[in-house]
Amino acid sequence: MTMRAAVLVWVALLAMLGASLLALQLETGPLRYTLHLGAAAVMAALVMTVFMRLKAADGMMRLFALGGLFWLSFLFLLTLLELLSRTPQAGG
Amino acid sequence: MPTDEPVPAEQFDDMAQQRRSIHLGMWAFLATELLLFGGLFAGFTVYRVQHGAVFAEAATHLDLTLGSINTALLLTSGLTLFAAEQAITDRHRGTGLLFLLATTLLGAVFLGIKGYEWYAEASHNLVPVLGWPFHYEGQSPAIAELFFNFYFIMTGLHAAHMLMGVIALGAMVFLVGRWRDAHKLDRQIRMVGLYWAFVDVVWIFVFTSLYLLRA
Repeated sequence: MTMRAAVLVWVALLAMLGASLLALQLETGPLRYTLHLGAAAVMAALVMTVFMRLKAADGMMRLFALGGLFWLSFLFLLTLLELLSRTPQAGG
Repeated sequence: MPTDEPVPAEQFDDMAQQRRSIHLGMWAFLATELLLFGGLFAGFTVYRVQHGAVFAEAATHLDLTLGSINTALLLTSGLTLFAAEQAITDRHRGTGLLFLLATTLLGAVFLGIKGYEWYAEASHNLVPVLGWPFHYEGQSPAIAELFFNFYFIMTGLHAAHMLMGVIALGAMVFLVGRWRDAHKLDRQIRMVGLYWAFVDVVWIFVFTSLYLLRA
């Protein structure tokens, strides 16, 4: 991983931050929130790939890194499945 | 400056195995940290879905400008630490030290700004901890209090990690200044770099969830 690549990623990160802040001008709603969360996901991926050097890491290292995200995805998936599938009960 | 080939610790066959073990250990540690923050984010998500309008309104009471400046500072510190790692790997002690100091300074400024934000929120009676008065003008103060509980726990836990990072960076400044074993410094700075970048990633989501998902 070269210094040039790191500088380019830094510029991209600041551009993504700027874009996410610009999106605040849009009307509040699912589209705007999706843009904010999407920008955050791209920024996190850039930091992990370049600053955490996952791009240059071997398979085992990537497996360890993705393992954490894998278990985190279970946490969110099961939590949201339960939350979003609730049906309101009559009488509270 | 030492230029001798590094000798692995006795439990390792060679330096490559030692380096790999250190990296895997650090990634395993970061995975546990991810689940620590993950639990908090999952809890926040549940209440954010249930009380979307109140949480979005409460978020407008946070200082977006200071939050954005802090995000830019932290992203920049990721670059300066990467530069420090490269310089130390290339055995450029002075450059490495300079970038390490810049990273430490950026981290300290981040914490200073965060502290100022907390102070401003306390001045507006928006800190629902330690029995302090909580006074909220908007809709559903009890739900808004929940939002501010999450805000202070999430930013507080993140700031505690930042503080540890700044202390680790300070230790690295001392070690690089002394420059006893360049190979060891190389390994140490990589670990600090991984930790710092992780804290960076966590902040990106803290900032997005608390500051940007506003009304």
